Amino acid sequence: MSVETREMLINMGPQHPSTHGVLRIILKLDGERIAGSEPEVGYLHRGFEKLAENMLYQQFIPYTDRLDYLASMNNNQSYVVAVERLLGIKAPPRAQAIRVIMSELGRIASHLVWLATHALDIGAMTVFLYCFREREAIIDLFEAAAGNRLNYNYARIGGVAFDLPKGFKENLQKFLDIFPEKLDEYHRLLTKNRIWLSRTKGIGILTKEQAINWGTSGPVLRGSGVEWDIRKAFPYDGYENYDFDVPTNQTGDVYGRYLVRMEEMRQSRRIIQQAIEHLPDGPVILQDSPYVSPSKEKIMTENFSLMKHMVLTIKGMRTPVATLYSATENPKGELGFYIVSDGSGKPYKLKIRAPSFINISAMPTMLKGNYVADVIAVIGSLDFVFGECDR
Amino acid sequence: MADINFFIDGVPVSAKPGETILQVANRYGIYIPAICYSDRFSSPIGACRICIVVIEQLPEEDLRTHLEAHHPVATGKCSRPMPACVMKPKAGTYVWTNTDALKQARAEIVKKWDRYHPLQCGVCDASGECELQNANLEFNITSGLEQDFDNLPQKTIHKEWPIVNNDPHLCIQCKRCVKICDDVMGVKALALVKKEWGGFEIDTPDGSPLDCEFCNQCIDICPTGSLESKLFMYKAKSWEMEHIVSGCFFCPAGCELELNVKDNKILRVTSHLPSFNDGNLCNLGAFAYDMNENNRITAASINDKEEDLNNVIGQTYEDLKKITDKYGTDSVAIVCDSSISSEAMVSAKRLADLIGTKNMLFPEAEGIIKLDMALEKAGLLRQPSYDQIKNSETIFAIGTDLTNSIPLLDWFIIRKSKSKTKKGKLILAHYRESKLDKLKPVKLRYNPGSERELLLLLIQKLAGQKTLEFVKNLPEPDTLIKITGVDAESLETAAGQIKSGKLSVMVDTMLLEKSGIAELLADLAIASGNQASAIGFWPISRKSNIKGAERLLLDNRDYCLDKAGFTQRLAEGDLHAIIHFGNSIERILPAPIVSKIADIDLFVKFATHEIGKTEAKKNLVIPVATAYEEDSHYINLEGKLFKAKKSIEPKKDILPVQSIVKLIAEKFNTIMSPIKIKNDFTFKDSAQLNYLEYEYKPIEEIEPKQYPYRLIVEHSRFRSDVSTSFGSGPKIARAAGYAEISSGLAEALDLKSDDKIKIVSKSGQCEASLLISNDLPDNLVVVPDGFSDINPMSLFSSNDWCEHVNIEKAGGNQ
Repeated sequence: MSVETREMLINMGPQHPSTHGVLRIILKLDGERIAGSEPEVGYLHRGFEKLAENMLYQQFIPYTDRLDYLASMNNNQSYVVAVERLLGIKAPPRAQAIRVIMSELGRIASHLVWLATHALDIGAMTVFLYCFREREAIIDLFEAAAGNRLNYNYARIGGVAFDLPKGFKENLQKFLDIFPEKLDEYHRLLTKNRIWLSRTKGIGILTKEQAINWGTSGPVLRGSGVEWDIRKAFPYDGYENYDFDVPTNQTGDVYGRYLVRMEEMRQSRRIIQQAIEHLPDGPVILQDSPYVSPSKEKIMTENFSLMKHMVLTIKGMRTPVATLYSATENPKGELGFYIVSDGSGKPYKLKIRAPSFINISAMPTMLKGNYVADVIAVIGSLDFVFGECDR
Repeated sequence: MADINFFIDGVPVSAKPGETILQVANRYGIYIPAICYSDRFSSPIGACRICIVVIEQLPEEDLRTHLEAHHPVATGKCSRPMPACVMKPKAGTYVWTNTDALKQARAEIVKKWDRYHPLQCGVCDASGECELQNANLEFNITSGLEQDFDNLPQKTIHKEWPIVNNDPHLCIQCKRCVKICDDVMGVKALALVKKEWGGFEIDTPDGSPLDCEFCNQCIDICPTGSLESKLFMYKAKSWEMEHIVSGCFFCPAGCELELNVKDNKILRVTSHLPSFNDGNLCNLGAFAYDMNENNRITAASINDKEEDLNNVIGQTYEDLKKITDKYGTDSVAIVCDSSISSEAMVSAKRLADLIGTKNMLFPEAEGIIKLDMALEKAGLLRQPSYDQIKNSETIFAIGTDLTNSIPLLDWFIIRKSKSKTKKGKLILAHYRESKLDKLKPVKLRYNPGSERELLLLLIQKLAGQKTLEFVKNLPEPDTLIKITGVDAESLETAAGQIKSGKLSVMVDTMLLEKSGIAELLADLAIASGNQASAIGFWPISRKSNIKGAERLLLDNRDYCLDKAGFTQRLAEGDLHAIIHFGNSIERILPAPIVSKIADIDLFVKFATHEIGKTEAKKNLVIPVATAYEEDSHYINLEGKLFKAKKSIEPKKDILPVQSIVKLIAEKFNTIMSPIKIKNDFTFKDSAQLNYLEYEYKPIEEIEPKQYPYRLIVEHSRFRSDVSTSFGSGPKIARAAGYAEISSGLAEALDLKSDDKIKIVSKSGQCEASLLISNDLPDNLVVVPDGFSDINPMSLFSSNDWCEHVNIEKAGGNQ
């Protein structure tokens, strides 16, 4: 008697709770081992890049909120930095520092959601509750500054929308003071936990070479041992003035990426601490700039300010005719904007390099040879968001 | 002359002789900001000073090291700032357009404009397309300006002007409106006038309310909201409207324009650039757009009773069937206006084919066909282009006032007269003065009705003794001069100029209907000694698709029914059904013919607007879409096909003509393919030019005693097809029709301007208010075409070009 064996195709998602959004993976199984896999994306496509061609540069800022909605502040910053580079301007020092604070808080918040869901997927419920407790503190800070709790729309071309509110610095300091303790708590729960180790160590390996060849970025790349951080390589918003380390891990497995992100939260805290200690005074948005609307008072009393404001809101800015690629280090990796400007107030073409999209493409390489139960561990370790991947 | 080589911002450029620095920079894509400059003008204004540049003369070696060492910037040794729009470049000089000093100077100029500019961008119609707003952003004005809005100079807002709203507070005095009015339109209605408060304002030179061609040019070219259209004010913001590039279908010029549409409504018309008409538009093109909403026929009807469209279409089929079964297919005639689209004309022809009749009449195209036939025989039939007018040496216009007929040609001629190299010559043969007289043309003032004699005189001057070979009964020149009443000296000059080179002949199609005119014009052209390719004939008409009608008829010559034939058939009772594509048959046929229509069995009308009423035994009216409501094609004067784009949705039950004819065709069990208009008509080149034989017969007119005056129909620039009477702009510019007589006649009859008079002829009468002119002969009454309230055709008793009438004061006994 002979037993016939064959590979089986299994469909995972797009409504699976552990695929972190609408990801569908077609798994080819040889028993319980994964012989091959094919991620399918695009379920959340909203045509942002095309929409951008039909709106003024400043009108696109709220759309960037809806890319990686767990790190809206970072997306805002990434986009406005790209436009500022196109225009050849820089935000005032105070605005730059505020943006750094916000984006580093955003990084911590994003990583907290990653840790919470990643751990929950693998079976650690407690961590989920703790992480969301700390994230709540950050969101309260964001709400105080921007008025919103998820999509902040806070950065502006040439600065930020509002100055920091009263009491922000104190509340932020309180958070920074308690956060290292909390981090240690997470470490105690997971880092040496036997179950955690067996579910993450040696799982979903991406070698250094593979990581580079797949074009991965962010913690995925650094988890494979490449020391690459855009904040260091192409500093923006004054990152060159902050002292911080770029954590890496040579293993390239799920555990390695876990350690990198855990350390990144500590480094972000370091940056914020430096930023609030040396927060400069001054305006939070460029004054007398041809790209920024004058203040309300000026618009209502000076005709030249009123006229500038009208043109900026109706026709938009007078941009130089140029093409430009600008990227920043987002929690998920390298978020880049490729802008083709024809000199008008609307981008002729705006391409978004979404780190989630590119990191997902490396997933089949990581999955091959692992068990089917490890899929969710790998997904968790890649930490992608479909708002950004599908755009 | 050789090209001039110099540098702009370090870029080596070369200028053609006569070019200014700004023109060279524009050609090379180097940006120099400018406000008052426009390519539409023949010369720069030099008022705004925004285009200032500095010029320096450096030895070659110095410059090279200078350019290599730095990013190109000017050294300290520059000239004072010079306007680039006026300055001609000098060989080997270095022009710098954007030094810090220039930036600052430009900012200072903008600040000067800002000083008294009111804070009302929020309510100003120009917001969003205002060049002052753009300048403020471009030169980044941020401070250094003390403004006192409580103590602005009190300027006069001219709300009383028709169509144009002039608010001098918003004016930056770039003088573009003054320039375009003078330079392009040749009107000079606007000027910069010194006012009591000590400053200047744009106003009419004498301070009276604006009375001009109301052509929209000043409104269109105004950089700010100072000159605004009253018809558009507060209707929409500039960025809310969709701009649809389309062709104007109000006259055969076919100018390009942009329809500004919001919420399925045309709110205004703006210029389209670049275009062959240089963005210029006339009153109709710019302001007649709301004819689409007024006086429209909205429902199909049978004998004035509203009916469902499908019923009327079914009824049309059944009635036609009945008539053709009873009297034969030849008893149906199709009459077309010449202002309907080519699609509608082809639909009409297809309908004729369905019925099986070849009786198609285009009453307004009769003159143009006569000319074509004559030209074909003479070997001159060709399609001239607009470029030919721009380059032609001599323009000879007879019996037509170009300003009123085809404004585009008027602009071309004015532009030509401003040119230094292509001035050309202009001969105007007309019985009265026109706007173009300002250009000092050769004027041949003749007695109306003596056009043939005038042409004979010219031919004789040019061809000499040879004339006798093809003209029989040629009278003595002295007799001809006596009949025409022209000045012998002007005649001599005119003949000399016609001979001098390329010739464009412009002639009114109404005049062409007169026998002999077409033949004599062909003879004159041959006698000028030009090659056939150097002669262009321009039949001038107000009917927008006259050329489309011409092409259709030349392609289908056996479908030609002429007015005389039609009249005869109608009188003999041969015709039992008439299908009319157009608004009003009584406007294109003389009154006695129209009155005979009452006896026929069926009258079907495909019309857009409610104008007049024709009573047959059975009347069917089918509403059709205007050219705003469907994609339709027209053929312009230079024989090019242009498209009037669909810009708004028609109301329910209003369909394009071709859709309705398609529905009728279905009743005939025929499936009609969509109409594709092509303009592939080609003219056969003829090597041989032949003089056309002509026998001169003096007209022996017996002036009827009770009708001592002659009525002539003229064109008005404020109307073309009668449907344009329903546009607000033309209505404001000229509210109602009028009758024009000479001041001498008015005095003799004791009539005053604006008196209501009654014009009586053999076949009818109508009332009009009186206009008195100084330049008319004493026995003439002139009535314009296209006004909805006065129909000159109702006075005509035959297909002649003039009619004998009497005039009397309305409402009283003379």
